[in-house]
Amino acid sequence: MPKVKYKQQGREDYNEVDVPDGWTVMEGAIQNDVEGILAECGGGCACATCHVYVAERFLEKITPISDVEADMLECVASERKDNSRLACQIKITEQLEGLIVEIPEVQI
Amino acid sequence: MKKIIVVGGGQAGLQVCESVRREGFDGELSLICEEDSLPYQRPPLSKSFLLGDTDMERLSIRPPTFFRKYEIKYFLNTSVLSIDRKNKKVKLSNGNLMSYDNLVLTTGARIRQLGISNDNSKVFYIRDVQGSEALRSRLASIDNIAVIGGGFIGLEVAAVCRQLGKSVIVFEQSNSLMARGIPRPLASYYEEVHKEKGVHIALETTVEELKIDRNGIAISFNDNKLIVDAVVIGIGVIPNTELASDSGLRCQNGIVTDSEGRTNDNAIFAAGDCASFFSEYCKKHVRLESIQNAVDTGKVVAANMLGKEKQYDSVPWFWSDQYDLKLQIAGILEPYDDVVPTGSMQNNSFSSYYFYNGAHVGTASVNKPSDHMKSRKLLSVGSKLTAEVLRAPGFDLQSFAKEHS
Repeated sequence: MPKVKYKQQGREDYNEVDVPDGWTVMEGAIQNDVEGILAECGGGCACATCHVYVAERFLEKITPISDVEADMLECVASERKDNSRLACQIKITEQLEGLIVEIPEVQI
Repeated sequence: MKKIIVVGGGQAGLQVCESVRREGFDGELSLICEEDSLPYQRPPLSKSFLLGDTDMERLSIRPPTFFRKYEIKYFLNTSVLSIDRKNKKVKLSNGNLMSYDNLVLTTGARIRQLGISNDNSKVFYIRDVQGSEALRSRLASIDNIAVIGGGFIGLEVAAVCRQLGKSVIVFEQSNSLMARGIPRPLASYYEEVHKEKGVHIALETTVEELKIDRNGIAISFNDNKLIVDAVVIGIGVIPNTELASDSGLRCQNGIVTDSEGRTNDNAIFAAGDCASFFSEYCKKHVRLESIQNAVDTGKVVAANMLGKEKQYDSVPWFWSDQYDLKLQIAGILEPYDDVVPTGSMQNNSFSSYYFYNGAHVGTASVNKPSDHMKSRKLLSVGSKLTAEVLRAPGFDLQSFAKEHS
């Protein structure tokens, strides 16, 4: 099961969590009590409260940004960066072993 | 030590628990759940769960560790039989009496049933995980399916069934789909989409009789008869108010509360689907069936139980997923006297802005979540958007929203 590291922005420590294949990065956070990912809409790509910054080297291994996600990323509460993604749209695969995502300080 | 009991383990009940702890409540906190599972997400039951894209484990809103961490004592398979308001005690179905300082009713709503035989291998209701699972597990052996009720749930189920290659017919009594939720032109767009996908839509059609036999279900309507393998019924819900009304709390289409979530008993609050909450945004009592309403009324009730005077003034919003279309509504669309469309209906990516007496009252978006988010922001501060501004060439919502919210 791939391990995902959830890091809180501005902090050094992180949560390392086993996330099953096929789950999303958002689900991995919610089901393991990782703070800072709100996911108000439950993963519908409808609320922009599961914003994360993906470590550069994993960016190209992740499914590309859909039109709807791109549109939604316009509305995130923290700074939109080149490595911004919605955690509910990142599906875990074996290739993402060791994935590191940083959770911004604010989601609303 | 102060004691809070929350009755009902849905989205609203969980939100109350989470929020009182986050607001610093350190007393005793209990959550009474009628079902045999911890609170789980219901929206996927008519969407991804039914489609087989997710499973029960992934539906739970918070994991068991969360309840330990926040010291939320939960009781599964348990209901509250009665409330003794004078002595501030509730009687549980397991025979125990529990005392409270504050009681919160988040009892939700139950499915409206059609008065017919409930053969649950052929007739399905989608309200809880069992209902959705029952249909999901039989879908492989179903070719023809009829959906009774052309509302959000019915149409989401119809879309999933079409995606899985089933033959689908939707029966709707009124002359429009989703008539309770969206204006006519948008409903017509959705009617066209479903027809293009191959769904048969029977508007203004009342199902008179369902007869179940070994071969399937015979549906009688308008002197016609149709035999299908399965029927899904989605004709709305009824708020669970009996516990409240039996104990003398005021109920009228829901448990009536003020804008702080208080019932006519100062110690008792209500939130979510079961509550007719006074909305400062709508300036009237509303009973909404949505995640937004469950979450926001839950937060309001939690704050007020801890003496933090918070009023319910959120902009209502909700969404519906059908095929690859994400419909999102912000605000209250009706009544309206002007509507401005943007984007492209042909490309299935558009928004409609609704105005009444010159004021922007709501926005409906299809595959334009950023329009939805910006509209919510604008509406929450009393939207300054006008039809004239919106129609002006070169108008940019992004910069307008930045300037005005």
